[in-house]
Amino acid sequence: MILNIKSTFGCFFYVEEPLSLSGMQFLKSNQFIWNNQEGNYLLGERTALYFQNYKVLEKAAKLKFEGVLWFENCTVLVESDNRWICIKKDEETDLLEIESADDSISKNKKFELVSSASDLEWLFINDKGEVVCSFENTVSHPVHQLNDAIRRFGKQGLSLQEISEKLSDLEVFEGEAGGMKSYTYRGVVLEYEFHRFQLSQDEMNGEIIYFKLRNIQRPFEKFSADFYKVVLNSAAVDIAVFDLEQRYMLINEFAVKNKEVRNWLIGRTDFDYCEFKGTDDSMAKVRKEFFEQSKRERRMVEMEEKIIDADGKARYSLKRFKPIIVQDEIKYMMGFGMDVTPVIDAQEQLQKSLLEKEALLGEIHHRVKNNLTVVYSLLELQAIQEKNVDIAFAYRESQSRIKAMALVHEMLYKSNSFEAIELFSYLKNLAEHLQHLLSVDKTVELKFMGTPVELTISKAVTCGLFANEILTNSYKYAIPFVENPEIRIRLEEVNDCVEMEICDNGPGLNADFEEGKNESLGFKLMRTFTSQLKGDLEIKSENGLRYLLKFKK
Amino acid sequence: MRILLVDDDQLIRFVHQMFIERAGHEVVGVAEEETQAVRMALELKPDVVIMDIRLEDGTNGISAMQTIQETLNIPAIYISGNSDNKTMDEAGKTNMKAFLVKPVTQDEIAKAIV
Repeated sequence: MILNIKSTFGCFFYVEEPLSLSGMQFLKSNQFIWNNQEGNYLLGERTALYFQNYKVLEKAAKLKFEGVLWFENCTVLVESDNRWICIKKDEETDLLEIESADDSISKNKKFELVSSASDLEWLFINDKGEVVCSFENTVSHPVHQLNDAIRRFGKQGLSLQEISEKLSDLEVFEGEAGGMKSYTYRGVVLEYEFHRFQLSQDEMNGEIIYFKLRNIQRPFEKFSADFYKVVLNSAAVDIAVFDLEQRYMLINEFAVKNKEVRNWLIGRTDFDYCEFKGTDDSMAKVRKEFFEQSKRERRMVEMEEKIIDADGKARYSLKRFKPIIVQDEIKYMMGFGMDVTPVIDAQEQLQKSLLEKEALLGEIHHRVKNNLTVVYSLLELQAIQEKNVDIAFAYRESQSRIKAMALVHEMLYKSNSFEAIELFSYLKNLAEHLQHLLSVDKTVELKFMGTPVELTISKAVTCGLFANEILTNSYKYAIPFVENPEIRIRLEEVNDCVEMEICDNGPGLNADFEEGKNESLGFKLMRTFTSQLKGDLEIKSENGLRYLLKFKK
Repeated sequence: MRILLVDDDQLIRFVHQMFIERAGHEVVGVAEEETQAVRMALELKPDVVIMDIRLEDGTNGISAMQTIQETLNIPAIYISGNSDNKTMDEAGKTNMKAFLVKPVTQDEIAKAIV
């Protein structure tokens, strides 16, 4: 493992260590401690990293230190059994020496290292809560304070043991400096932010880079078996793994609460379970069928299972089988189950409510039609009693208008949809009825052309009333005056635009007819309906009378 | 012709009765629901029953005709607002002279009776 720390001022820290170099702690501006996975450590200083007083370091290494402190003139290494040693630097020789490896303060006494709020005071506290030793850190450079050195590897609030572990497991796999970097630590990806610090102390200038933990990503595959077990049993769905003969290999606690039953089922099938319980095996048969289908088709299949629970209530479970394919071969089968009773109940409720509403709507249309029937019948009664032909015809006209409306309700009642009416059939019905209602002694040939057009109720009623006026006009002013009367109705939908054309072969408009002037009620109604449909109406005398209505669907 | 008129709507019964009588026929009785219609048909033995399909209290005119025709083969003229295929098919299985869709004119009723 190679780690380069480059300086911008000619200081070049270079370590090529055959052992895995795993961490670094700063003791002061010019001192570093590195420790590796074996628990050994190296001490570095400023311009060069050197194995100064290697024997001392070797000795320290055997003690497996937990933490390291620096204070004014010495380094304190805390051992894993809570003893401590002190390394002092000889100012003359510049060598490090162990001053106290087995001090009376720490002998056979357990203590903890605690930092004060100021981060400048460091205390050893024993298990009775007494301060057994304290140090003061007077170096104020933020990079080189011990606490900062600990922080730089990511965590506040970690014990020294934890930090030590972290350092020993940190694996550096990128050598570049600057920006964000990723490291793996026990399979966990740690993202670090690089920081550069300019050193300018004494006569030395240099640059130091350290890392700050930003993020932790835990890769799924790195979790322990216990973790997977907890996840499996905490999942709020039934999970099972089967062998290819549909024998249970694994069942989670959610699927089978009772541990004994769960254990009993391992190596057994649903058929064994039915036999054991003395119940009908039809459920096992259906499951088997879907299981085999999933295996055969190498894909997930799902089924809905209905179970009657102990209270006699129906419960529904959505079951899924999915093959586990390894290297193109099905190794196992997975089964999932989820209680979907609330969903099914809600669907049923919704369906019931929908049916009720449909029935109610049907009833309303029926009632409306009945009411229109009553009015129609009363007008019929008046029409047949009326001696005056013109007045009788006026009754018939009103009847035909009512019929046009009633027909819509009748068609709605008959159809599956209460939203739209098929206009072509509607017009055909209407024309045939009018032929009967307004019949003269002649046979009128009705010709229908075009295609079905679906319209909303309101537009269909308007269209019906419009057609009714034209047809009534034809029966009144055209048919009596020609030998072979004919009415042609064409309906088409062109680019979302409806074209309705009604023609007769009568004498057409009077020569003195002027559009918009002295128009009959029928014409006025036609124009109102056209405007209601936001359409255009074209009336032409061409071998009879031709009406062309165009409107947006 | 002697006619039994069955419809759950009093006003329609009144109008239809007038149509029938104006066409020269006799309304021997009027009923508004199935049981009453069956009882009157069997008692009065009319020549024709003019029968609505949706009757009072959710009862059904076709069902009434089936019961009547089990004893007396009196033909029916159905006058109904329901002209869907299912209803017409069921009505067609009984002895039926005509199926008229409401609203009807006097002329239509008169033609159906004859």
